[in-house]
Amino acid sequence: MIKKYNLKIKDGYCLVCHRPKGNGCLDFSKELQLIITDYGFSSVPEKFYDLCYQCAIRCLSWKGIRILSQPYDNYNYMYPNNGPLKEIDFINWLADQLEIFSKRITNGELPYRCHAYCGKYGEKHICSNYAIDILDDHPLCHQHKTIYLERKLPKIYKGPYQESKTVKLAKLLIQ
Amino acid sequence: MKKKKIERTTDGLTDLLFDEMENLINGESTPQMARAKAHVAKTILSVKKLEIDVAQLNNDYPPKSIKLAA
Repeated sequence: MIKKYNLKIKDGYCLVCHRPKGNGCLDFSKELQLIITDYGFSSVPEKFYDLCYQCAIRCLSWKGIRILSQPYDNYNYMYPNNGPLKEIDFINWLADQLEIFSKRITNGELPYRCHAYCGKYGEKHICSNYAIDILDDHPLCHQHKTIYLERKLPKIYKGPYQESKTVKLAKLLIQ
Repeated sequence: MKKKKIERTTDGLTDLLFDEMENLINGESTPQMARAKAHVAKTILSVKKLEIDVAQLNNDYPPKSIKLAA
């Protein structure tokens, strides 16, 4: 049984590696043409539309799916499925990616939804490390962080984004 | 609150990790929670890998305890 699908990658960030799609050497907007073998999916899973080109290939490969990509001929190959060991390797890789993603959020490298659930993304991240330290890994957006700092630390934090000398000193001490 | 039962297969584990990534992006989970789940997933995998290695030594491959997704 062979089925063909065109997988049109969505814009935005990759669900797995969290790199912005469309940047770098890979053109994520290209369509992937997939041939689903008899071991593969009956349809393309919804989640794969949220992955970048590279991760989509990686995620699909362990299912024994042949990927015909254009124009990246170097990806035009087939991964045979080698049973449980192959799947374990894949899930290990996925767990690694989740850990890396978490660390990047904690380190303030990624925009992240405000922990106060206001739905906004935090700014990218000049002073949010400071907030993360204070909040024990709970990042806040610019607005909520300001509110938090003003309430919790009125003596050393003054006004929206006007760092006093005391705040700068506190940051240096934390580092 | 309804308990979510994780399917005891490789697909169940994969779904767990994908769900956690989505929750993290949507602000419904925390980096600590995500790291903990990733760590648990890896531990489960290392146990299963050990079972596979033992089964290979005993010429019982793949082992009966491994459930592959259909």
